[in-house]
Amino acid sequence: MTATLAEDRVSTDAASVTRLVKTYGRGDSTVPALADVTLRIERGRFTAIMGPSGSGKSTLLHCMAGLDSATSGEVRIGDEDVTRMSEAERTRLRRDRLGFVFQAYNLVPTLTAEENILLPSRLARRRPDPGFYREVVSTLGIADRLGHRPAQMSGGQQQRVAMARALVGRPAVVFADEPTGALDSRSSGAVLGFLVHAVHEMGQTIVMVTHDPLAASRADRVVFLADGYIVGDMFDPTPDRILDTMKSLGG
Amino acid sequence: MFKTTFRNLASHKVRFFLTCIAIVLGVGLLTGTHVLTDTVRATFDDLFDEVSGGVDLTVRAETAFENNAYGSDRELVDASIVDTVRAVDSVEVAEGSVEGYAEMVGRDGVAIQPPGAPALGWSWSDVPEFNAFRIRDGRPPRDSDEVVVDAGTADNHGLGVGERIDILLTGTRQSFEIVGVARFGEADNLAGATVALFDPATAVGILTAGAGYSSVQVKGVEGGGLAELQDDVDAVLPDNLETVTAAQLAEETASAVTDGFGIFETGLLVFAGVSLFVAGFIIFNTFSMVVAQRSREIGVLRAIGAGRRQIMVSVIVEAVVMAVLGAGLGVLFGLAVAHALLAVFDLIGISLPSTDLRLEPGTVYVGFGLALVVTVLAAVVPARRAAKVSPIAAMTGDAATGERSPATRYAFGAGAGAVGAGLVAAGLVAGGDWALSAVGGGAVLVFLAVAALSPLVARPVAGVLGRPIALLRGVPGHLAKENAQRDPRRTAATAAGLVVGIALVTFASVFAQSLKASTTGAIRSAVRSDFVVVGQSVGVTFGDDVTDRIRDTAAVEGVVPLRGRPEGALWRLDGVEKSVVGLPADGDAAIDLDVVEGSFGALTDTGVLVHTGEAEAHGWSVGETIPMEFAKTGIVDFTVVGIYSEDVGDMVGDYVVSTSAYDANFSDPRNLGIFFSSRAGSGARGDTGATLAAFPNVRLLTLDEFVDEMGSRLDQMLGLVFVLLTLAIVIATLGIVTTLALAVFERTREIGLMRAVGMGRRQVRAMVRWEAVIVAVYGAVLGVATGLVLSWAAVTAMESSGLTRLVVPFGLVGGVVVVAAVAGVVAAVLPARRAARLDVLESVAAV
Repeated sequence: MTATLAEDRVSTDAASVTRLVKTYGRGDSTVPALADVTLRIERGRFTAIMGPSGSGKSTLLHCMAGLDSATSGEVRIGDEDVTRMSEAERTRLRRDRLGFVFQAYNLVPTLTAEENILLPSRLARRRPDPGFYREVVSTLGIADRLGHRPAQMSGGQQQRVAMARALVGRPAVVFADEPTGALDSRSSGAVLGFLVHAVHEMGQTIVMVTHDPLAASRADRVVFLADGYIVGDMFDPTPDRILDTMKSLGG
Repeated sequence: MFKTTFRNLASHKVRFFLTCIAIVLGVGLLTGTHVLTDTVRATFDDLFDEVSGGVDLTVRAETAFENNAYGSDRELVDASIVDTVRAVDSVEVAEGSVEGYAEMVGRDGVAIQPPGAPALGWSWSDVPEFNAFRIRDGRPPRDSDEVVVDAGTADNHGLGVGERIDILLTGTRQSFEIVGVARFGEADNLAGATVALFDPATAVGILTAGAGYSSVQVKGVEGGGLAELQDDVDAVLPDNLETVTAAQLAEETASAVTDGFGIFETGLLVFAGVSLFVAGFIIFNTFSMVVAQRSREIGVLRAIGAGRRQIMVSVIVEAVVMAVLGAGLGVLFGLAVAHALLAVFDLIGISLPSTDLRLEPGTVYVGFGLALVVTVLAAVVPARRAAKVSPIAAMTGDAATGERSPATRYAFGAGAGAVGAGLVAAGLVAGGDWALSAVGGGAVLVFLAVAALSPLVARPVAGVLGRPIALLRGVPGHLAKENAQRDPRRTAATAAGLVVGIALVTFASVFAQSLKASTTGAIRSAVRSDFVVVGQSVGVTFGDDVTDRIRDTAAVEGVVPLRGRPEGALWRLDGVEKSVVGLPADGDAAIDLDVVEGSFGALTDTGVLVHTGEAEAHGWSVGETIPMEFAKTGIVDFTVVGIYSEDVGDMVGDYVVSTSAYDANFSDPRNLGIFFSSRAGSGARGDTGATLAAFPNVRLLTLDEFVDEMGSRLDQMLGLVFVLLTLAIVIATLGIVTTLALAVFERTREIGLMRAVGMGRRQVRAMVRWEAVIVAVYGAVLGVATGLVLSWAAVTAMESSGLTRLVVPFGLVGGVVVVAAVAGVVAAVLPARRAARLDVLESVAAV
């Protein structure tokens, strides 16, 4: 029975979180960031996580991505239990099975765009699929920027390079932490368009943390967090519905 | 934000320690050296005060100048003077005393030759004020068959009361019974010398051949004044005699002993200088990076109204605090250094009468002063940069730390390099008192020039060095190369300390190897003899009795004694000290000096042979009269009878007089070596070997062995230099640690990012490590290049002084580069660990 359940998960969930608790501090001064979170991230979906400041949305992302450890509960990426992993195993997991896009400063300044994109695979001493690499690069429109260093690129271009890096290894999940937070609205739109494209055309699974209802509305599903609890789960969201929910959360 | 502040503070401690440590070492060595000499001086002052109570005089022959550490270069005092002095009313006791050469032969039949100190024979005095020796075992010598030996020698060689001992005296060897063992004040010996004490009558006979006393000791009547006593005694003395007070004598003895430490002292002071210099680079680099990192903070200060001057002063104040603390620790460290040096001296047999360390205020002022000057000078440029940070930096976090114009720096570099190289060359050629300052000052300029120009080549050179690492080590290697090339100014400044240390090592080894090759080559071509007799240990002379015995051996011919002193038999030309050796007129049969003008055979009692270099410098030709001033005999006119061109280094030097002229003007007719050849077909070595068995103080060498030995002396010198410069490399490595730690801190976000996308801890460590290796090897390459240029300049400049060959020890130079690479790996350990342990989340979030 358990085997079927696990197989079932493998077949449908890219990642899952079960009864996840994360507290900071010790003794009397503990601050719960995540109280008791259970969440399943389906394969091939674009999931947004929203919530007011301090709701625990970033902590949730970090725990799912193996960047932070859980106090209790379980995090799975595919069939791998992240919470039981050593630091070295989590590093390997991030390198081989996950992709990251941060808000800013996504790139290593000494490396060119191409070197930045290939960094995880080169760290693993792997060669990425050259056809897919070309596809990603041309889709993101950065083919003519590959020899440039981050300092020679605009913020939007840098985020596109970061996305290329996240996508090119065909990871189980791409985690994006406020990927449009530092961009103007036009660049934001482009970046979100690429994320949607990656999900729908390439079958990529993406989890994005954002506080921007417009950005969240591009996702297939929006999970709302407040005070460390999941307080809402919306499919096929629109900006208005998201705003309403956020207002009801007092955000 | 608080987190970064705390992290900043924590990193402060380590950084502060690492930045200070170079100052601590520099000031420590400086202080240690001064404390050591002051202590020795004070010790002798105390000793003589204690012994004489401050009221006695020594009567001795006047000398033109002090030229011999142990004062043996004086005419003797006639025995009748003792009675003359005794007749003076204010004199209570007067007694003749003698000192001379007396070398003990150990139980194993080998002569006891103290390294770097004389083997002395003294007369024993029963008047305690006249005698610093105190009997430890046994009793004073009373008979012509008896001797008292110093405790150091007795203990080191297992000699005791009741045993018989052979003693080598000028021209003879005698057997004595040890009746006592004595200590010199509180010490077991007199700064390393061996001392045999004889009863006065015997001493006069064996040490001065009955010709008189070395000096006359005088004690005044109770209650009489010293000045009065001196006036009274001076009044009855003939013109050629003088009186000196106990205080003066103490001063002279202390100077003589401290002069004996001269090599150590110079070496330590040079190293103290090197280490303060390197400290300057480290401080400059650290402050530059800290200012850049704090630009946001400085921007905020500027935004809320802090003036440029206030910002600059705040940075300078930080430097001053660092200097003061560093110097304070340095002075304490210096006391430890002095203590350790005394212990080392004691260990190698140079014992001093007391070990109460003297820390004079002047020593402290100099230490603090130098530390302040170095630190503040190094911090001025970063402080000016800090002052230029605009208030906008508070918002952007970007430091506008660009310099005014690199052209100025390059112009400075080129100018300083040229002037510096010129000074080094000039100093080496000229010799003399200011030579060391010129060479040192020139070297400092050259290093500043290299540091100024180094950013020009840092990027391409680091690229070339990094390429194989990038190829072999994958991404971490590639990133290491990129990081090393990232900021050429920083890479250059980080490597600067290493450049100094390695350039000096390279310079010293190339210079010494070239000198060795040139000198040994010249000796080999000049010396025609088959064999050379030398002292038992390096730099020890021996008497003419050996020469006579070799002459008596049937199997030899062309026996030539070479008179001289290991530290140089000094005379003066218009107040400038020169050294001379003595050779017989037929000496060119053994040593062909390649006389280009005049002839060797013309060497008479007032004839002198001069090296071409000196002759050209003074514009002399054959027939010229030179007023040579000797300590013993005053000015004596010599005539140039020949000019020679062969350079055999210190073995002969620049001036040669005849053996008889040497004996007339110096009081020790002793030899550095005896050269001779075997008669055709004879087994000369066997014959002379048997003959020399009677002389445990000498050894018989073939020409090849002799040449090797002359060469190996330079190797020993080089050994000392190496030990000191290795320490310079260690200090420079600390500089790399500081810079790397700051760089890791600066790149926190970047490292966090790489960790987030899958860089493992080992890969992070490898990245930092290989960057350190690239920077260190860059420093080594630049250091080797600088050292080679310096030594090429030196060798070229000194060609006329006999430095005819440029020898580059490639193995050693390669070894230095390897050592630098290893130093880089070591330097990277802590920063790499720190980088690998950075928390990924915090790092990514770091501002």
